[in-house]
Amino acid sequence: MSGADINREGDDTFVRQIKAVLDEGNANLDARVRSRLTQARYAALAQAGDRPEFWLRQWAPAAGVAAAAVLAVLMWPGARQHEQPPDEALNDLEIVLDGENLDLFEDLDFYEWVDADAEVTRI
Amino acid sequence: MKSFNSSASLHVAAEEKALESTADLERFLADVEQRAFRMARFAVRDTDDALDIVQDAMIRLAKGYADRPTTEWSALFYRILQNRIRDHQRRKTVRNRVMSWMGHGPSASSADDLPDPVETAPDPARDADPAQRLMLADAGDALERAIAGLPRRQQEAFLLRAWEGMDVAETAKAMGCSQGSVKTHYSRAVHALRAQLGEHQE
Repeated sequence: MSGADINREGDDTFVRQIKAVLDEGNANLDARVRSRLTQARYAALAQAGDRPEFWLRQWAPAAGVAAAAVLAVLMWPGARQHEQPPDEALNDLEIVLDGENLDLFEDLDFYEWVDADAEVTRI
Repeated sequence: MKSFNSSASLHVAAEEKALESTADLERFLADVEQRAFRMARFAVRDTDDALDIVQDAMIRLAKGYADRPTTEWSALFYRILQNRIRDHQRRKTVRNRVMSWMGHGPSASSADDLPDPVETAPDPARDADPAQRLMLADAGDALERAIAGLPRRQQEAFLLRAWEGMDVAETAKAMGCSQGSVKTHYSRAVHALRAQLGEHQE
């Protein structure tokens, strides 16, 4: 064993002894210090919880999986059987997007009655 | 209905994952807090200041880096801690300078001109009377004094490597310096401590 090795081994032993003494010192910290450290930890955790990115990071994978699941359900062949023909679907969309037409459909009974009444008048 | 159920279970799973991450952060902070506090106290030599510094470092880690991989937390936390310690020491230097200018206290012309802690640290063999010497025979007490007396960078390198158990690369990240500097500071610290504590070992 070379002199350098002996020195290194001596240093390692010395450092291990120091580490043991330092660790022992932690056990002797007084209650006030321990309590303040616990409070500090909870304050930090509260801040982490308030961060939007922290929660976003947790939710991002779940949101991705949820979106994929929704897409899968929509694209599933069984789901397509219940689809309306494209033209009807477009008509429905127009109705929903057009506020005036929506009013008309809400009063559909009235317009049917007017129509029937007009036919009776014509007869 | 099926998709609602799967969405609800995903919601629960995500919530569980978030709680798990918070638990990871709590475990990390609980593990390092006492060592971090004592490292800060070695550096600033004041219990309340050290507690404030540790709290600040914890909050900064939680706010800025909680979403980083857990393996990076240690180096990041100690980097923040060392920066906070340095800020504290700079503020203290400025305060002392102002007080000195007003005729109330010690002066230092710049942060670099601070007295060498090794020179100014109490030397048990030189300063203590026999009763004090008896008290200082306690290894922990002597060790704390010796560590507190190390120059700041040696102290950081020694505590991060020997106590926190970081490797050279991680210590370099935490200290914001090269790996070569870490090795130099660490080696000098070990030799300084051996020279001071040699008699306690025997």
